[in-house]
Amino acid sequence: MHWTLSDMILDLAHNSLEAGADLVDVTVEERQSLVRIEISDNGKGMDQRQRALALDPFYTEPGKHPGRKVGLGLPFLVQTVEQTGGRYELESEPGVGTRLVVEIDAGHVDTPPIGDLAQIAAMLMCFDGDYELRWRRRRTADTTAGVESGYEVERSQLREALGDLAYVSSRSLASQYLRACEDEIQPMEGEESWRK
Amino acid sequence: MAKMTLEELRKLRQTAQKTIRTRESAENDIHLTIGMGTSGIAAGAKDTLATLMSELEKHPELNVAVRQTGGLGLEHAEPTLEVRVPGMPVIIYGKVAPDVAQKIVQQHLINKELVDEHIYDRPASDIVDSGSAQ
Repeated sequence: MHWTLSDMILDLAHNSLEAGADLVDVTVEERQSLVRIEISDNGKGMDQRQRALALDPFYTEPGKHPGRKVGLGLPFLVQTVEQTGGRYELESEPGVGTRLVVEIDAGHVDTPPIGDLAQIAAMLMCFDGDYELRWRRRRTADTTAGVESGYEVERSQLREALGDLAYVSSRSLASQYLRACEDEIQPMEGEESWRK
Repeated sequence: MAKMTLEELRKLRQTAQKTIRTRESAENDIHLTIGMGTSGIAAGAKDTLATLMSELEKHPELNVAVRQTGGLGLEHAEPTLEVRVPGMPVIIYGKVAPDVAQKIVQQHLINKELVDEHIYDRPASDIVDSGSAQ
């Protein structure tokens, strides 16, 4: 079972890569306790029937998992959203790509902790293959004053600076950089109670 | 909004060039592949990878490439880790909890001895080119 929202983001963004996407956008925004997650890709997309099947925990795309016939990535997230009064939108078109938007109340008692976003950002940058991944973070710590902070990192920037991200030395630097970016975001009052 | 600047990129590159060995001897490098699909993540592959990275950072002399993939075909034994050390057989380890990852680094990568109790398989035939598994 996925324990944190970060686990789910990692899983779903990886699904995009497995769907043949070479461009994946991941945005995680926080406004007080509302967390908005958007994952979009230019992968092979799904038609209406496949979209419905993707929400079925006992379905996986034929041939995707040799020896296994269930896929759980999207259902895990939908189940969490539904049990916490959140909402989600799934748009997809064959040959164009897929866009998933989720809004979830991090303060709800049944919402999993958000987890370590810097850690999964680094992991998302380090899958094998030639793809672009844009990772965007935004946080509005004080909505009345409109104080917003955030950062944006592209995989191509990290590769330009660090070369092959598979090597431990490069991965470590990428992780350190993303951690530093994440640490610069303005903290929110009372966030420790639900953040980790 | 804060964004990575060119100056920061240059600094990263300079730091990286000090620490990254040239890749001329890539055939002598150690290659690890960890399963990070749905089942891997659910079984704790994220923690395994984090532990693996912190262990490997202590041994820069090993020059290890760590790749993430979906599944290695052994979902019942997640988290799974394929280990390719030059001169040794290709091994897929299963049930690689963080403490097992530490053991693999010390015993397999450094001491060149297999961690017998966690050996599950060689790579599944559908994820490797014919003949690439030894």
